[in-house]
Amino acid sequence: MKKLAALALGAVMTAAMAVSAQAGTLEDVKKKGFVQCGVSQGLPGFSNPDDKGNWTGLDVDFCRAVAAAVFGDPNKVKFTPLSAKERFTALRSGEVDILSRNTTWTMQRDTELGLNFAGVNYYDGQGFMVRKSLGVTSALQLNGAAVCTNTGTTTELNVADYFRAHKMQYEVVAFEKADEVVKAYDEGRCDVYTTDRSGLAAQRLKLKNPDEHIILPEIISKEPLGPVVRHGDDQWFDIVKWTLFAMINAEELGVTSKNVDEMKKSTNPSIRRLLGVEGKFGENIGLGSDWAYNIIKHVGNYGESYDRNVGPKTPLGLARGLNALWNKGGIMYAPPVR
Amino acid sequence: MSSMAQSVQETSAEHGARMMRFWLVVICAIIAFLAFYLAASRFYYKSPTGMFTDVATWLGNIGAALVSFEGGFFTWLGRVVVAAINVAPLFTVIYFAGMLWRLYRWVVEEHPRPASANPLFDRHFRGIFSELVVFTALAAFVWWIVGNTVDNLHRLGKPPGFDFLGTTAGFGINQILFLDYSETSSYGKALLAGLLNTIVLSLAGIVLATIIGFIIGIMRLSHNWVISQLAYWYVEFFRNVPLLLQIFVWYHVVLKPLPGPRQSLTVADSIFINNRGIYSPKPIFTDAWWFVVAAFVFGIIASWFIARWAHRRQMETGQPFPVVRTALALILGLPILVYFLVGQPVSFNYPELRGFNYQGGMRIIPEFMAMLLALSIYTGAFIGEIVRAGIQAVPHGQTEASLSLGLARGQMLRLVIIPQALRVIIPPLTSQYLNLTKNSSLAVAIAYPDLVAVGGIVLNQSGRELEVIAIWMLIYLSLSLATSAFMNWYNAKMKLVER
Repeated sequence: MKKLAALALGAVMTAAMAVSAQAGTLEDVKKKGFVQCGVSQGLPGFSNPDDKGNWTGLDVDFCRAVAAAVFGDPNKVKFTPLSAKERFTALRSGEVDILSRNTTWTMQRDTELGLNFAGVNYYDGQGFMVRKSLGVTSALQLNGAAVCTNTGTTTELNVADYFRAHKMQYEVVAFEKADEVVKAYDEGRCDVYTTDRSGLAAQRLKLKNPDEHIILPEIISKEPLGPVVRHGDDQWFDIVKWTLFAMINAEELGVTSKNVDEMKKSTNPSIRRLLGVEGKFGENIGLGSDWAYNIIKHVGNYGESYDRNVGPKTPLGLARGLNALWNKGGIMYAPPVR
Repeated sequence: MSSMAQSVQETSAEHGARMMRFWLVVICAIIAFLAFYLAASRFYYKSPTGMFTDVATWLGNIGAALVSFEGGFFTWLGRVVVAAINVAPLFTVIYFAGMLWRLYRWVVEEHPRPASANPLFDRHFRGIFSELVVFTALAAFVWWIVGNTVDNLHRLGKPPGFDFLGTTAGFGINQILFLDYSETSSYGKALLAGLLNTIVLSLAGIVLATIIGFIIGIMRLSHNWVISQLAYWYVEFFRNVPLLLQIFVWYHVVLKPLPGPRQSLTVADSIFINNRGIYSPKPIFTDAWWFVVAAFVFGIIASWFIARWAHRRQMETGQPFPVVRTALALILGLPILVYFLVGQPVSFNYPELRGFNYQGGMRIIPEFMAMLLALSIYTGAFIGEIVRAGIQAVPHGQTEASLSLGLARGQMLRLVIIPQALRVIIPPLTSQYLNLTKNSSLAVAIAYPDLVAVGGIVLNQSGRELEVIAIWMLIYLSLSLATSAFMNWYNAKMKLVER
């Protein structure tokens, strides 16, 4: 609450004082010497601090990729944990340079809130988790249930729509912090915990007995999650957008953090352009020609990041599904570097 | 001769002073206009003439806003607020005109003043001048802030306004009182639901905290060592642990040991307690219920008259009358009698376990219970200290005096000690009530849908930070001012009547 108040005050102050932080995020970032990245308050697999305080996760990797593209060093990044409620205010007031926080791309956010979504780094959908002991097998059996969720999310709107559309009663219990939602659900305040399915898989690990809970099969919404920047700075928007595209293209072209040095000698023109051997693509977005090389070298391609953080071999164990490349049965697709 | 010379001298001195006054006024006018214009032009006027033509537009706008009812009540309210803000500068203009008029009158009117008085030392002039300076600075500052904010919000592509209050909210709220809110209602109605939740929580908290506080305060003064130590440690513990922490503890203390809905604790097969809340039967009143209400109201009015009559009779004849017992009989006994006479006009809707949860009946959600406990126990510790201080502030001589007058112990407390203690207690008590109301905003931490929690959702879903924060501030200010006004009235009623 205090933080929100501070952020709100910050927003008012930035609005009240002349705003010039609008353009030139790249220069600001270079001057500061690091990228300020807004992440979640702890969502395993996406953005979560480990026991030494190092942030890891798919969304964290993306921030590191941007830092690698700008500075050639994935560690020149600082993380600001934000609640769902604070995140847009923090981004718009200039407190963070990128928001990489499992945030759903919606039209209202993209337009009315003055934000730009730089693409999708995880295709998700909202689901429900319940106790196995309830014997529920479908979300359509949830009439009258108490539902725990986060405030300030698309989740609480989707759940209202879903229950209304199916003429079911429900009680929503909305907390500001994700950890409070998990705790309240675990203590039995709610029958159902709802959020994006990737989030359910991640938060389930925090429950006392993860095996006593199941995720219901219904996916009630489209939740394309992606990195976000402010309106009004096209250069920075381009950098963030093409960082994501570079990671996806690298996977498609088979360039990994391990073989990227050999790949520089590749004869494939697509790879040569991506790694800056041919063309001036890096210069066009205000970076060095080795921008994508740095991303892949230090962070890896999209597939590597996915497998490391949320893939089948991690505790989350999420199959690639929709997030597989377009030529491998998914819808992950990036425009070409040319 | 000499008198003639003196009079000539006088007029010329007076003339000089008058000229000086005249130029001072001109300078004042220029300062005021410049400051005002510079501030105002940041926002409202893009050209000097615009300042005057805009006045007509403002008036047109507020008129248009008032008569257009399209889009529901909250949209209308939003439009009127914006129009009123737009017209506000007009009052500044009117005020400045008034100031200049006062200055002009000061120049032309003959005040009795020493002939050669320096206008700078004229009390009248200095009054006007300092008021003008302060007001100009304030107006310029406010206009500059408002102008900048509005300009920058426009630049961000988010022109300020309250139209969003009429937009569909789309989210659910888990405690709706006195309203028919649903997901299809507007943001305005959602905020209203949040406000009602805040008010109910605050009122319940104030009542409970007062009761706890008085008990603790009196316990603290007990001659029994155990009781007074108990009260002492209660106060020291609860007022020294941060409130937010207490709220979390109560929430999880309330929640954790309670069983799920299917294993509810049951009282007399009608009250069910589980981790979803406390469910009790809901009374449903038939038309004949109004006789009972009428009897109750009659009881109150009759008791009031009886109390007045008894007081007068006691003053005249010295004979006491059992007012309390009579009043109890009238206020409680009479309605109960009527209730049975008209054939028990109440039926009950019992809560029933259907599916996951109990449906029907009345329900108190656990978040409300936790908030109420935390707020009243925390504030009760402070009130306990206030009560103790109030009672101790009455000199011991008062006790001795009333005992020597032959008053009974109860009469002494009721007639001598408490009225004097209340005089000391009420002002700090008011502060505690205000604190409790404002502290209720911590409810957001445990999902109790108060004004801040619901407003936060509205803020986030609509992206209207500035507007929602303005609404928050305005509402908490009004709630606090209303509480203050009530307590000040009560204080005025309770204070010693002095001759």
